[in-house]
Amino acid sequence: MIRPQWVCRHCLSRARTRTTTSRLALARPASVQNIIRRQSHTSTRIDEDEDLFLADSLLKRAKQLATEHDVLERQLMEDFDTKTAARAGHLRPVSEALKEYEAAVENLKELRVLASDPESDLSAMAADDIPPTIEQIRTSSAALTTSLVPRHQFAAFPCTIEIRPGTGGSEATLFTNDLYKMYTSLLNNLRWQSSIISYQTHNEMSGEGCSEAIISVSTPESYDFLRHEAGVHRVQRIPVTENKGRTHTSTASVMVLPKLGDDEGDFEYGTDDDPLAQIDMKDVKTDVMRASGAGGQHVNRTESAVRMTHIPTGIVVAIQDTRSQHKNRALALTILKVKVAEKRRKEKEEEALSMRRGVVKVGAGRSDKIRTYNFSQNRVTDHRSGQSNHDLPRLMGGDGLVEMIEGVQEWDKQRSVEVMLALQEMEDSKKEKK
Amino acid sequence: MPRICRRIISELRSQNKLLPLLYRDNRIPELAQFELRTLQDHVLQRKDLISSPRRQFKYLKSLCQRRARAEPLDHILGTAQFYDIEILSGRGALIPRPETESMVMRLCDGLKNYHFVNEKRRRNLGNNFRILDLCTGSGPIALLMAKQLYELGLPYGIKVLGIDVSEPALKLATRSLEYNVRKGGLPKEARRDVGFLKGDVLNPEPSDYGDDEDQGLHYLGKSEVHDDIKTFFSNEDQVDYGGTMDIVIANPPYVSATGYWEDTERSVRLYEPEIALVPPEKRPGNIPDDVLREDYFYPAIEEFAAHFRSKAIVFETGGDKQSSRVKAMLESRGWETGTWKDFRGINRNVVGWRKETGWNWLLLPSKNGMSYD
Repeated sequence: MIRPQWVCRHCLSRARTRTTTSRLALARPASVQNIIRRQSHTSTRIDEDEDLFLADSLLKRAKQLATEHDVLERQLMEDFDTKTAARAGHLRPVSEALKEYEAAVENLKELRVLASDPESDLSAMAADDIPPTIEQIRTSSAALTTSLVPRHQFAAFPCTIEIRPGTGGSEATLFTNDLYKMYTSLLNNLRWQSSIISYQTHNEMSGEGCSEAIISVSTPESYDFLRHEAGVHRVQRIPVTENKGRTHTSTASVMVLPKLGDDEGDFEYGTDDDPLAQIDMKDVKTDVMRASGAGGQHVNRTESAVRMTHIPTGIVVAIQDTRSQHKNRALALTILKVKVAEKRRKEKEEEALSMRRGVVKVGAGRSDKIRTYNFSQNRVTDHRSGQSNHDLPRLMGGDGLVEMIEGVQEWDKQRSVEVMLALQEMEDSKKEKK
Repeated sequence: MPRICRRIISELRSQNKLLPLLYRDNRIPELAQFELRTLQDHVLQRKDLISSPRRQFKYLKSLCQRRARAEPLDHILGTAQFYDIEILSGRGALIPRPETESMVMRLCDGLKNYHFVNEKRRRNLGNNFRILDLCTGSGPIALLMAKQLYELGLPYGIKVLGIDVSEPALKLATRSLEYNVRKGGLPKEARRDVGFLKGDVLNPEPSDYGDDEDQGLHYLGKSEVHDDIKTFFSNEDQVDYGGTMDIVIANPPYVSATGYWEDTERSVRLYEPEIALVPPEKRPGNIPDDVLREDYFYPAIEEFAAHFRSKAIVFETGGDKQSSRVKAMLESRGWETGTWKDFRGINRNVVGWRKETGWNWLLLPSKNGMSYD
């Protein structure tokens, strides 16, 4: 049997940069390689720091965003606008991280020049300064990568947690109840405001079971944290209902949904304040009845009927309400905005609904789990981040869950960076082809 | 104009026997229905007829018959609607056109969204915002501008002056102002801030103060009209004694003598005053020989704008060709210029502004669908 030869990571990365053939030999896609921070042994050496620096495409994107930030800041100096300010606020971390990163890289270059000069008295001092600078680059590039990851669309919203038993019968209802207790104590520990919307008991067998629990968390941004809990949770234990001492595997499904409705703000639907009623006038086609001929002072007919079409949605409004053509136009535009907002609102609701359906497959099986609670081994393992916790009773009491979720968050971030990189590279290669 | 179609007539008659009368002039079935609705509303407003449906119908029929003789709807109703204000109308009054309405609304929309966006501009150097509407006629432009600007709530207020040569038109304009103030369409201050004065733009009468410099009124004296304008705008609180203007806006007569017989509708020739449509035959003294008759007013109005150091000038014109002539004239006199299209796709308005004012927002597209470019 031929076994693959053991290769040092450090050598692998060097091979990657030198020849394309050796790159082909790599099992992992290059995009993933670019961002993984390799903990190889000789990173302080001068001639090899490819791993240290960020991928070009990533850097390019960061620079784009930083320029946008600068432009927005300049606009804000002249004229304050809440929307611009919000956008600039989102981009600020990127801009700051980029500055820090660039400064550190610059620093490193200078230090190396100094260190390589044997005549200088400073070379020893410079050489001493290199490792901390490299560390600085590491931290700043990590900060930059995370700041580049786009925030989840609904990250700012509060959320609801819904727990329902999956496969496993009464044992699943018992586990649902355990999970419910776990989340309530987690929310207590975090001091997040929450209320129980629904709690259905299920006491078919001995012990307390729960067939549905819905908790509403009203703390803003809670969705961003708790969304990682959505999925199938698997339990492996000898249930209280089991009298022969066999280990059972059952599941409970957890849904976490953003609460969109409450946070929309205070305005009447369809008015100018309604964000969904914003229309680009380029998309609107206006027809006036019989708009031909010389017009102006030559004609005095009351040509006041107006028809407006919103091209992207295909909504048409025709108005002949007053003798003033312009008044009709204004009226038509208002009605058009209301209709467009209505349509968009409906689409948004449908999207939310489909998201709800997409969160967990109905009747989730034992294999699509995100986390396993193994009581007999006193172990909880998250299958996404690969983390394990070996103090199950404390975790069920809400302790240590935060760390576990943070691990998943980290994993999620890494994954988004990979996706983002892949997309960026795809775009770049498209451009090159053109 | 489309020919009268028998099928449509019979169809309209089956809906209401008065509809064919209205269809006779406007030739658009939907418009005939709308006009009937409007006339019906008008009849229902008459309190003295409310007890007798028969008399109501007779009155309605007489109105429809007047309309069938091509009398404009606004003359029959006695009012014209100009965006959100009502202008009094009647026999011999020019009907305000939708193109003019668009011009005013686009200008006001630009002022609102592009000009008065910061406090410094709203304060306007401590002066009120001044608009001079030349050839105002029955005053629709002046009144609508005033109404729109009041809504912006400028800290030093506004002043709008309309000038016209026709006495009956000015009387109508003054009555319209009072009518709108009474109805609540305009605030009470409009009585002070909006004015209408008689004056001949083409041949201004010489001023009483012409040669007499001892009176200490050195800023007066160019002509009677200029003096009137200065007196109207001057105020001891002001920095510049009414000598400068923010916007000069005008919808002057611009139909050519041949165009009057060839291009205008019958209703226009029958019921609207020729003086409001066609410039006078006699060439005014200060107009060069190469200027066409239909263009007489534009250089004369530009002279007013230049004399009062107006920041901007807004014209309505007869179409693409006239627009390019007016544009060239303004450019030769040192204005930055541009044109606006109307809803027919014709270059209907020429705008000019002084370079130092930086008013190039005049050419930006409207944010609320007020522009057609």
